[in-house]
Amino acid sequence: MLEKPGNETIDFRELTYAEAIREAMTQAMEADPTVFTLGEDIGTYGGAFGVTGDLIHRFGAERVIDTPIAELGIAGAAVGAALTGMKPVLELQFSDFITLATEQIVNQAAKIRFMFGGKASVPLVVRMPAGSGTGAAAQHSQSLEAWFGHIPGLKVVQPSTPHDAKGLLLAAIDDPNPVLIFEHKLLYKTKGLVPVDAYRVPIGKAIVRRPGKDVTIVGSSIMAIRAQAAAERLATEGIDAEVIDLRSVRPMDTETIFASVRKTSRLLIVYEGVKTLGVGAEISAAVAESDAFDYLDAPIVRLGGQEVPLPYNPVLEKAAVPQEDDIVNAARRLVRDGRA
Amino acid sequence: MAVEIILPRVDMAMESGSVARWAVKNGDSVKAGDLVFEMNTDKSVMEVEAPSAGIISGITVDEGVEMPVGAVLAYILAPGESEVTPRPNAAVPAIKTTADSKPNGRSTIPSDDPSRGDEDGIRATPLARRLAREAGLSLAALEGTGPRGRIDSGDVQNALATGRGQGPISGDATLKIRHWPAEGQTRDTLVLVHGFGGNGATWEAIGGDLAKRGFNVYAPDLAGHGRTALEADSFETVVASLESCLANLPGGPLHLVGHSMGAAVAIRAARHLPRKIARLTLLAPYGLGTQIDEGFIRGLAMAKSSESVLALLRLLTVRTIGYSPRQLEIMTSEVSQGRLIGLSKLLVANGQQSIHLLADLAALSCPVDVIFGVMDRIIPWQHVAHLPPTIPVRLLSEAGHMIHLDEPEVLTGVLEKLSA
Repeated sequence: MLEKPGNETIDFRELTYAEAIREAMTQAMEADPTVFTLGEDIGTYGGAFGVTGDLIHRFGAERVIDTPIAELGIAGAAVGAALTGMKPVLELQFSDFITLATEQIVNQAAKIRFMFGGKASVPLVVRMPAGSGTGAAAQHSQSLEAWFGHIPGLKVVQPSTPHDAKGLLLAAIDDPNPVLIFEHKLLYKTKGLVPVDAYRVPIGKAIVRRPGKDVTIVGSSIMAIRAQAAAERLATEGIDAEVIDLRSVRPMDTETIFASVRKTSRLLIVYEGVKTLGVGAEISAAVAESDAFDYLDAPIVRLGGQEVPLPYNPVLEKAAVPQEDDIVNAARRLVRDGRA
Repeated sequence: MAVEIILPRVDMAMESGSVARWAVKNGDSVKAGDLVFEMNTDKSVMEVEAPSAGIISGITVDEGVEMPVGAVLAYILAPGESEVTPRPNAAVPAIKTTADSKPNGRSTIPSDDPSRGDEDGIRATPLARRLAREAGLSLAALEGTGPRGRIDSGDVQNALATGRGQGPISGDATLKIRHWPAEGQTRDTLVLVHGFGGNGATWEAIGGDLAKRGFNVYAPDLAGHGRTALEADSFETVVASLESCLANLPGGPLHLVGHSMGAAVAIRAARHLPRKIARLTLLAPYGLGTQIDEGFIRGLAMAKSSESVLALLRLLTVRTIGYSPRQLEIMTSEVSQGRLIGLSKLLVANGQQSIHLLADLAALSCPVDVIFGVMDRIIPWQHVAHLPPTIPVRLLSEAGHMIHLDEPEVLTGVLEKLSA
């Protein structure tokens, strides 16, 4: 329990990231009969990563809909339902499969509000397991958030904690526009304190996870977690890193990053997506264009995924994306030597 | 985007200050480098300039109210930009209020930007460039310690601490020297060496009179001063500029007359060129002790308005000297180039004189005389107590720091007597 001003209390308990998402779904479906979820194997099977679990037993097959293996079709169905007053939460088994649903998401969901002059909207949520680390190989391990962050009309979030997984999903369901949630597969079993009641984490707001003065490390999803662990190790070497959990790729909270760079004068951006033309490029350019530029005392450094399809071999798979050691090394070089 | 005007940190120990006088009001348009306000610190009054052009907005702080370093005092809006709701100052980025030693809150000065233009090709971080710009420091004189010689903020801070690289760089090493030819030379050749912030013209009050009395009189503009383009990036550079003047003067042994910092420069030059110097006369010399009016030195180095220059000049004399608007304008335009900033830091550190010349004085073989005004408000005359007992001292009861302005006839009389 935590005291809030006015003697109100908040009840917390420990949940996994997957349980926190399921709890958000439960609370949203209990509160609003127009909320429903659809996807492949999300019913009796409980979802490819067990996220939907027992929702079908609580809400029935009308609101927890097992669909055919046809991403374009089910995305179209979800967009149509959203257009006609429902609040669908579409689960894709792997975020890689969004390639199949891209027409509906990029050309329809993202555009409809604008093309109909605001007379229609698409309150769609797409939940997707993303990222590498599970030995799922090149077609099931990608981090494609930058693709969708490029599209006006979409919002893209990447929760790193159970708390944010629940709060961002509830915020996404409230949102009258399409929101894509990239959930990291390796985070589903991680635990954290989650309030019992429903609450929202604002979309488009980053959070400083660890204040520091020597270098700013920006990451989201599992990279925010690794950056925090790296920062604690750096602290033992006398390097005080500030860690920003971006949480949303679009809209992006650049002000929090600028403020941090003005404080630390050094910026390391860590992301799992392929380095080239990725989230890091956007952040780097935004800082270079801002008044924070005049506070930089070393080049901006991007630590992104390697320029390869993700390998199946577990050693190579690990080597293809930034790990805690990589972050420690990159931050140390940046602070000590002023270079990438 | 609105540009913040903050209360700058002008020395490392400074934690707070106040606006002594606003030079602008909301709605005024300013150019980069225009005076925005004068600031009281615990040591002096400093001028703070507009960091960029635009319209002043959001002045909320009254004159005299003590504010923490880094507090936002006003904004500069771009044309067409809307009013800014002033942020509470507690929300100023932490860098500006914490005890963090990075001088991120350094003054907002940039005027003529010496870190731009003539320094293409210099590798420096944006932060290093900004800090150098704000301190009036030239990056060209610095050595970078970063990868491939890149200059970073640490290099700039080191340079500021040691005084290297101050002022714009110029390849022109020509010295400007004023000459009052003797009307029938019957006496010595005199070289008059001006003090900090002065130039050869400082000696107008006595130059012509001395020439009439048979002296051949020269007065150089030292490095970093007047029309001499060479910058004063170290004390030795200033000394070297005098030495090159002495080396180029015709005639035999010279009588050097140095005032204040110019006295210190003359002592060092006399030590280097013992055969060239026949006699040394020191007026209110710098370098005999530790006390000095730091506020005057810093204030003159940073002055941007003729009002400030005049206020500082008033400290120099007991008599009220009438300066013409034209004279003030010239002096202001000279000091406002920021050429003196680096030198000021070399001469005064932690509120004290930082270069000591007693050992040099003791090593000189030529006759030395010292003259001080007991009304001196810049350097206390009591420093004469530190002099070797072989050096005669004359104290003038009616003179301040500028003896040649307060007591020109007395001074020319003394010089005449000394060279007899």
